[in-house]
Amino acid sequence: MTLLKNVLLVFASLTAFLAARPALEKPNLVLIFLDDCGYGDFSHTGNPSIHTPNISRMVRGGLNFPQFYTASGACSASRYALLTGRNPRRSGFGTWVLPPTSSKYIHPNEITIAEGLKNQGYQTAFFGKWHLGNPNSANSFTSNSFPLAHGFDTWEGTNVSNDYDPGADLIRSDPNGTTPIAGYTMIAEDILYKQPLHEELTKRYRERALQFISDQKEHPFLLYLAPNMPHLPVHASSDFKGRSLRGLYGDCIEEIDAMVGALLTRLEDEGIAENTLIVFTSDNGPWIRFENDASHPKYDEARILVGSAFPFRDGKGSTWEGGVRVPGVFYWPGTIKPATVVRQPASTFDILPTIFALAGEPRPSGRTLDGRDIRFYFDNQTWTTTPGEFSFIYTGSGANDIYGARKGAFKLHTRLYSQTGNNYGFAASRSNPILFNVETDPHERFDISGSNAAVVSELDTIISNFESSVNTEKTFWGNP
Amino acid sequence: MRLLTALFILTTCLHGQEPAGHWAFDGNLASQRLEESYGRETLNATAETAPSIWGSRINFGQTLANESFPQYLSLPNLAELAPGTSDFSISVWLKRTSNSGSTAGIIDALGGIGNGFQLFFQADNSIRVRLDDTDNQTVIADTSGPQFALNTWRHCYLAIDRQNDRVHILLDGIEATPAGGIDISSLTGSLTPNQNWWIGTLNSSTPSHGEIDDFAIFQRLLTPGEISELASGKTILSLFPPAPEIPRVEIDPPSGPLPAGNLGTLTGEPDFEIRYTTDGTEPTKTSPLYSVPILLDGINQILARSFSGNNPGPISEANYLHLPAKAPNVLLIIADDLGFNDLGCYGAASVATPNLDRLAYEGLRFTQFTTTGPGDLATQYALLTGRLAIRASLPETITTSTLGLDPNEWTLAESLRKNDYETALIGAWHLGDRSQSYPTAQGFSLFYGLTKDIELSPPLLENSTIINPTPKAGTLLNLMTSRATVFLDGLAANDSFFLCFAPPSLPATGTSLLGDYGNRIEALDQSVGNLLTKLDQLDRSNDTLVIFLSDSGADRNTGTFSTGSNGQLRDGKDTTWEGGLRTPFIARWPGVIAPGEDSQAVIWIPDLFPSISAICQSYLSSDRPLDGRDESALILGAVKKPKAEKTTFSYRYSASDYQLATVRSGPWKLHKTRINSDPENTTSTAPPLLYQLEVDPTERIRRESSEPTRVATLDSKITAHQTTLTGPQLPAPRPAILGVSGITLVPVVSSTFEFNFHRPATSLNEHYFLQHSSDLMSWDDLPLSAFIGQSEILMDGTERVQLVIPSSTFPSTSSSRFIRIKSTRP
Repeated sequence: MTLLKNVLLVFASLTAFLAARPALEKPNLVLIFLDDCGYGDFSHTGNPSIHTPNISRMVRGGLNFPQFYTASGACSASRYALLTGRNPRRSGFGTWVLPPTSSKYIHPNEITIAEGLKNQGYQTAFFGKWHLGNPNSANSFTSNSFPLAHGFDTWEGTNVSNDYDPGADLIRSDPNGTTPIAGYTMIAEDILYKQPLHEELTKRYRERALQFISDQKEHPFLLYLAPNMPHLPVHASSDFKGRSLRGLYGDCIEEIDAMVGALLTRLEDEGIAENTLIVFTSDNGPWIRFENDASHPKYDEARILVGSAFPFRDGKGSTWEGGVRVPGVFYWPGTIKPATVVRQPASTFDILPTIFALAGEPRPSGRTLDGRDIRFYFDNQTWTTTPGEFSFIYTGSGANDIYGARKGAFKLHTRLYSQTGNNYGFAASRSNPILFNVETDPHERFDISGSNAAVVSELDTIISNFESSVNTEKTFWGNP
Repeated sequence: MRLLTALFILTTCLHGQEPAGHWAFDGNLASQRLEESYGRETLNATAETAPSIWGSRINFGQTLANESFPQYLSLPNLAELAPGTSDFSISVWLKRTSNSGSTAGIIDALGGIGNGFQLFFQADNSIRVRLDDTDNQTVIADTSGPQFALNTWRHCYLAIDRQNDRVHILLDGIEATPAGGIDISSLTGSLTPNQNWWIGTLNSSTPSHGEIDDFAIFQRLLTPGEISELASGKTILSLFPPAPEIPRVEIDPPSGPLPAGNLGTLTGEPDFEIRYTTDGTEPTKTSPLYSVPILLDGINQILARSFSGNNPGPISEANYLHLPAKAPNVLLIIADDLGFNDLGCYGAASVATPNLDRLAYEGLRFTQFTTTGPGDLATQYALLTGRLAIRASLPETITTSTLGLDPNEWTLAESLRKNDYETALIGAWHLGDRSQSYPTAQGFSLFYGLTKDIELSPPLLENSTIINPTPKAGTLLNLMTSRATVFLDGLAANDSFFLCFAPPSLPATGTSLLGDYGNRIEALDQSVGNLLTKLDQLDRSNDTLVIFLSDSGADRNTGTFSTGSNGQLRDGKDTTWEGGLRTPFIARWPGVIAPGEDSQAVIWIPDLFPSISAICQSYLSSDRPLDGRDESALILGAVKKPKAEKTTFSYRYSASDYQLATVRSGPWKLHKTRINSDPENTTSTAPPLLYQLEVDPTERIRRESSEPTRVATLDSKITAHQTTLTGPQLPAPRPAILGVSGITLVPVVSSTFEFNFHRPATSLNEHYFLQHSSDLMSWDDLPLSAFIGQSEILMDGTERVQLVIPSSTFPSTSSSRFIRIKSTRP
């Protein structure tokens, strides 16, 4: 009897062992992408009155990039880059923000993270804001403008930013659905003033995400979680209202932090924490355009509902560092060592090449990618190939126009733009650019172009090379 | 008389029969009108879309007046309101103010195609209820009787009688649905809504075109008597008076650190029983009944509440942090001008500080710690005495040898020294370059460092001896770090220690991305790492409280790059903007302070002396005004919530004295003066300036015009504070020896004898000698510490000390000996 029991035990543990996927084999990816938060809105980035213990836990237990870039200072452009690993200039959108009436959308020829991972057998779910196209009369209500055409098995979220009026709709994928187009069901139309629903968006995504993790724990999965918050108008559910010292804005961030905590707990409870890479970052800096607005008709007392990009200059919309520097936290217990800090910069461009390499999906061909495989930073014993030097083209207002470039510690501005209308006493053009060392001078206070002609020239060449790359290759929509 | 009795009985009967939710819409403020009338805060309504319009009604107070506006109220969709599958009813007063000729919402608790119900006026002014259950069944019931006349209040009672499968609507107490109600037997599922309850609308768009008042939800059907009382104009609150408030239980001691052997007492009001738990679960009627004080050893949390019958009162909570029997060692690390945003764990973008990050991850990281204002002297004074520098009669910096810390001051070092700690200051001393003001005269048994500003090229001293007359700045940090590790190495295993490590900001080489300034911080981080490693090696980490802070925010006016950062806090060093006042603060004590947490509590540098003194149970004199208070519960993390009433001040030296610059109370900070240093700080408005620091950490949004009463309150706090500045700031100097007979002749016969003397409590054994003589001519000195028996500190700030002296102490050549006490201090 004892023998039989032992045999059974061995068998049981063997099956348990066989059932568990090795940590490095097709790891899950949970990609958390906030909307309009500031670099300084979290405990780990030095916020004095917003408390984010769960994100801090990922920093303590994982990897923090103090120099992390999102691809653009605005929504559609940065979301395009996140999902494709390509500079928004390559999108062909002709704009950095796609309004709900836009004929353009993310082109079907693009290969997204979801498509690549689906190709490797991943289950792919997306909860949150899409903002990469909308079926409308200008594009004959094409289904190509929505997430299921781009690799996602399931989606629930808003088509565009939560403040469009009209046009911000809450939609879910539904095989039997017909609104606004086949394959989807409209949950609620024009949600801007539907306050109870609007307040519970984060909660809604949290519940969907937790359910998805539990449902898919046996399979490799991609969970792309892009809460609408803290984009204006800022909301929090009743469970979180009044919790933060920072007021409603802090409540909203703390609700997102609690969502992160719930995801960590669920992954642990399901026994797949070590099989899951979590990336926490954001789409652009805080919307400081409204930081002096005491009573906005749509956003209320906007001045206290906007985050902080400090120590960086400016915010959303600009290519000052405050527009594009965002939190960059990578958490993967067992693979990434606790309290890892990578001093070198990285960006959202790097996520696709990295997760494709982890999943065994080849790097997309027939197009230029702007990201690097950064597995080296996770564990340089397992992955010995260095990512190569970081270089970055800043694009922004207009048709994802070029505003500058960074390489090493140096950043060249060839154009300036701020939604605040303030250029802080500087002027920049391609012929008269300004140069900053953004490591010794993170707030971009001292133009050193005069004493660094060689660096200026090198960065100018990087821009020229990028321009000719895009102009020669063109975009899937034609000219950039 | 008979009638009165009957009413009394009715009232008594209805006690506890109150509705599941009731909104009288009364109160002076819009927010009060949204409150649930029985005080159940989770049921408070919110105004949706825009502020609601209010009307009024005689005897009833305010009413919700949704005539033509799409605003409405929303109630949370909570189980305690939900109809479910049971009997359910609603009482509400309605008045139509216009006949819009279309439907007009009263209550909408039905989200799209879902379940729940709606109550609304129809185009012909009749009322319809629509019931949708979870089995996709729908019933519609209309009133057939009297239509609503305009501008007339009518009582509406909706009863969903699931037991008998009928729905009724009664207007003014009379059935308005067809007699006997309408059949709802087709409903099989639950009517619990799938959305929040909306009052005054249909589909969030169609308003009620009327007024709504005294809305109540019942999880039962009302009796005909109750309906008739309501229809005759009785308000819900008068028919169902709220139960008397059940008092809160006081728990003593409150949350905080706790030495062993403490008892906890729970106090409520007579006639209420108190029940409590110690396992974190909610106290219920079956939890232990409190009768005698509870021994708190091993108890981390008490939850307690009173009961009136089965009705529970609010829960009181106390959280305890059990302190080891032995007081901790203290390693206090003070950085020089290191900004709030200059450490990795505070969000630095170009500085890497793995050792200080580790300290934070193993300890508690604070986000609202401040100094008392600019100036190295002021900061060090506040740290060591718990007082604002204005009390010290000292200038901004000491440049002559005629000034220095008054020997009559009682410092943290003296306090711990009195408890036999080995005390060392390694680093910069700003409190006087003269012998009676040296650290070694102020309680430090070791001093190693500089007594002048680093820019004045001071010599390196150990105690009062010059070690190196011209030390190279680039070597000092290593020298100081080495000296600190030697100090730690030299301690006996059972020595307690207090090491105050306060190196000035020193040039360093390194690889920091931020350049020179970053190299300085990364070098300091390495020093901290060495000290933490040394504690580990000596097995001292678990009995050492390590505290890290900076003496000032970072300088934002260096005119060059590679400067410190205060993150989103405005301006920096030399100012009293938050960038100048606020600094990192980390406390670590493994096993006592929970690791990896943050605290947003407001503490400031004068709190350290009373707090550390409380933690180490060392002597804190009460004979002089103190600006700090014991915040050990916050510093050890036993309590996380900031105390709302905490008031702090900042001063800035100007002209010839310290001038009050700011006052902060709770989150509100009032600037009375304004100095800018950062070229990017463009605030040019003249004070007073009022900011809410927690919602607006950057001090951007001026609130003095919109919050005049807060300005007045803060001004009155300044006035109260300043009255403490006018009297004497130190007690009159006392003789070092009080009330001892000058000389005592003792026989050298018995094995030991006792000798008592009396001294100021603010004195240290090392400042006394036991002198003995055979001839009153030549005296021999013996250190006092070997003979201390019991000592007692008295209410008047003096101390009676008993010396126990073995007769073998003295030469046996004579049969008796003269002894006396000598003090080495004035």
